Amino acid sequence: LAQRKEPPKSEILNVQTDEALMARVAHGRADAFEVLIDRHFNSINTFCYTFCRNRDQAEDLTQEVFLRVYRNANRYKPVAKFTTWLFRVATNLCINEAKKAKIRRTVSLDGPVGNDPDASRIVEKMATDDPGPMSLAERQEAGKLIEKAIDALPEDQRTTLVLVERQNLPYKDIAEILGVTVSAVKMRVKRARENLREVLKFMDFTE
Amino acid sequence: MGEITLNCDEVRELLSPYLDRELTGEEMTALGEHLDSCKECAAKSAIFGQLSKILNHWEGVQASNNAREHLSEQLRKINRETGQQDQSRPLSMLLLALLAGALLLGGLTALIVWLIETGTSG
Repeated sequence: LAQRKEPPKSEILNVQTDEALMARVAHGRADAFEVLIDRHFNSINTFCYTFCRNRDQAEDLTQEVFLRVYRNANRYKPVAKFTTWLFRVATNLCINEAKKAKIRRTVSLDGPVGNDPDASRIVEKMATDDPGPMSLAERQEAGKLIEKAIDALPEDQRTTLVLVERQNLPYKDIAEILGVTVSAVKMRVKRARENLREVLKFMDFTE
Repeated sequence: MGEITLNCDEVRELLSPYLDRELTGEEMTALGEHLDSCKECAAKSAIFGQLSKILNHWEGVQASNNAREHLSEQLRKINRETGQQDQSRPLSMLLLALLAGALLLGGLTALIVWLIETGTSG
């Protein structure tokens, strides 16, 4: 008899939706939660970073987000998308922490990265349809430039833009996560893009 | 037909939601028609498109391995404190229970057979 080889448990979990995994977590399956952490740890870390702009603090906040979600797993209702719930928890935590630490501050849009010729070259390369292979150093430099540009945005625009561009979430979900109207999301994204363009100064080479 | 026509100000308001696929079909058509005939708005739309390409290169803020490991450690601690079962345990417990049941059943059957045999021979 040919033996049917069953896939390992981790593989079974890896193909499940977030919502199905959360249902398992609610029934005490800690391994299902590890899969959810692997999927969303860096996204939540990036999101927390856009709030506090401090890497260590972002990591602490990220851990706390997942711990809260884990402790409240049985309160999760699958009617809401898991990511909406997860980012909502992260938003609440970040806002509370920011209030406590008074770390919220508005940064003026100064120091455009376009003044640096090397930075301009990389930004220009990224903006093309086919930038070709980028070296590790170029990728790192590109990452730093984008982070710097996003850092220069006001907090509400930063967080909204990250949810749109990194998470590709619809405006409706973002409005729910941030506790604002869809119109407010629309306005924030538009302003964020306009400001980002100013910061990157990459308009110079588009004309 | 209810077709809409947009002026430049209206188009510029819609460029961002257009990029995020948040427009209705009717709005998309009207926007496309305007961009075909207005160089200025088309240039602005191209800039927004390039901005998205730039952001696509961003890999986000990578967390350290320590942070990820520390989280797993904290979860294991919670599990120990709350008596949460490990994923492999429910299955092994079930197998153990089945084995114990089978042994008990076998033992009982042997006892009954022995009692019957003792009864009939006596």
